[in-house]
Amino acid sequence: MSTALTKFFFRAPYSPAKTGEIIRWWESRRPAYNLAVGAAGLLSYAAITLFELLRFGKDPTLPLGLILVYGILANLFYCLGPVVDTIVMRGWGRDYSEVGPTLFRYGFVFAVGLTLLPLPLLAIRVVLWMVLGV
Amino acid sequence: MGALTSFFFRPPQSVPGTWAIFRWWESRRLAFNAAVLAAGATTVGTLFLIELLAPGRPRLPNLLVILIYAGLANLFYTLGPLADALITRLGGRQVSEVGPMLFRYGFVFAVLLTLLPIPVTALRVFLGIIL
Repeated sequence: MSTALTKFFFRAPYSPAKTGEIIRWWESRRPAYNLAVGAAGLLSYAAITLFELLRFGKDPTLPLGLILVYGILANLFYCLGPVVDTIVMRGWGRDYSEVGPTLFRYGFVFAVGLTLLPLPLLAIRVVLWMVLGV
Repeated sequence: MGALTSFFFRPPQSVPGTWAIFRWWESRRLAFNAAVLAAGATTVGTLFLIELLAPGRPRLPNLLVILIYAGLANLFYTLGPLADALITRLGGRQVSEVGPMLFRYGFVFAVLLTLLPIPVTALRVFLGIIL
């Protein structure tokens, strides 16, 4: 498990700086990235729906347009990863081969964290609702 | 580079006590707030400039929203030492790197989240102009 995760989030040190390989490295991880963001989104949406049901007694309508725009933006920003990675590798060489995977890890955590952000905010709202009734 | 390393990392394999963990996090809170504040100022300034390009009068953000955002950022920051102390107590040396890692990812997350309105608004204004 640890090896699979390490392989997913890291790259072999001093790996070749070929543009094609860099793009392949990023693109091979795109489905997993989308899956993680999608799962996080599903979790957030489920929590919001549950809260709205308990608080207002109604099921909120699925914001399909918003979900679509969010998904497109998440993938648009993901595309910046291989671009920056390629520029860094071409400009500064193999000594900076760890920059790309670092960008990937922080970007991955940021995207999933951002998608899960409604959960703690909702928790605060629930506490305010239960304590102050607002 | 040495200063950055000692800011974002802890000596490897160290098992700090609970107070040492809290001190480690609290000694970095000021820098965290400064970084988020700088990101916020950059965002507010850039949004103002972007909105100048868009039709209508540019709006400045509500002060109350800024205060709530800063309060929440510090509230979530406080979860860091709590999680760090809990994990260190349960896992010992083997997980001593988890705390500083939480700090690094949290730091980057907070700064990026504060800067996020810039590309989103730029994209919105760009689409508004061409469409």
